Amino acid sequence: MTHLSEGAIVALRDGERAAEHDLAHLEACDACREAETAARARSAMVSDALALLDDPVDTASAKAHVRRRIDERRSSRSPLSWSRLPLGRAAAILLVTAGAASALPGSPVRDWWLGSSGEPAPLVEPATVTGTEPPAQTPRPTGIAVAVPDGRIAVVVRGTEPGTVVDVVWQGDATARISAPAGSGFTYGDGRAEVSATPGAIEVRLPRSATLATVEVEGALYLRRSAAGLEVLGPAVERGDDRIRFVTGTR
Amino acid sequence: MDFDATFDQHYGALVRYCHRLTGDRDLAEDIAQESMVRLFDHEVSGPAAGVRAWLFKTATHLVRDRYRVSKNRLRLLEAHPVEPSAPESPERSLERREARERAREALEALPARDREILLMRYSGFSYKEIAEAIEVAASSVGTLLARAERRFADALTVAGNTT
Repeated sequence: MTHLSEGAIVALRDGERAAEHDLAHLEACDACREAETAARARSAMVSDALALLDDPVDTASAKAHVRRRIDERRSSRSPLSWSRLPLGRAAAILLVTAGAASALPGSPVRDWWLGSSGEPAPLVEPATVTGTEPPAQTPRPTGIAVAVPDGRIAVVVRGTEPGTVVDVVWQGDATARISAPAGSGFTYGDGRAEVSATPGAIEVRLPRSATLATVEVEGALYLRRSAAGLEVLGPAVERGDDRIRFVTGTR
Repeated sequence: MDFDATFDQHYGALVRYCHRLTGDRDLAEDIAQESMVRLFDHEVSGPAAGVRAWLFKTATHLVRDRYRVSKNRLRLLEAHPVEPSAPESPERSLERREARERAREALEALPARDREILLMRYSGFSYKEIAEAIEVAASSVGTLLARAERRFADALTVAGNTT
């Protein structure tokens, strides 16, 4: 009997390969099943080790910085852009224009140039043209959907503050969906999602069909659903058939 | 393409990927931001999965370029201590820092392509997307990933035994 290759076993584990004969072989071969179990364990170990390297991400300030850079690039491509004019020509145009305008009595440029005391106003750095700032908006929550292979899903939440609302909702959809405040970061793969949350409420929607579902918040197991039933271990403040609300740090 | 929505959806994961890849938080943010700037500058559009793949591929190439220029691989070994959000005991803090250091050393021990494949997979990419980004045949991703995982696990064990 030819065994499955290591690559094929990993691909089967990841749901990337579903050839009938491979699945049949896996079903019949103890050695390959053992190898698949080992591959799953290794995957969990790799995932845990990589998660150690993650820090919370400050999306808001990065977003403002990137927006500024994009605006700068776009304005630098404008056909009348100052930055595309040789500096001497730009300065000359500015001085000639200012000089002409300041010669006019009552001109606002004259007032600016001379200042209120009649002395030349101090020179200041010219303002950078950055484009129009966007209107202030309420940050929208961000979220992901994660496949739930074999009915298994593990959700890990980090970075919450005491008093954070974490809702766990059971839903008919076959995927798990996690939404968190804008700026939160996600690391995810099939059957696993990790959230580095920014302040605000978090919602974890889990498929009713899940056979093993866990929700862990700040290293504490809040909820576990398995064949043995539902265990609610975290600080639940409301509990219904479809929704359990936890508030961190209340127990 | 909606700037805010696209940024919120992809930036965090992109920084984490770059940070894992380079071991340097500042460099990771630089590269993630440069990738985002290029995305909007080039007016890349398409489904979210395609945009995500484009961003990660661009970031991977930027990381390679940086290393080609600087050859500063030692940066990967720089420690970036964890700042826990809640108070924890000094022992726990030390354990966490050491575990993090071991993970970083293990990642650094991998060849660049293994590291990229591993990190893309654990950022949630499909084999097809990894194949396109890393420029390998899709049929070989399983084999390459299995090898990368095994090497990483072995390196993690070695790092654990030497600390």
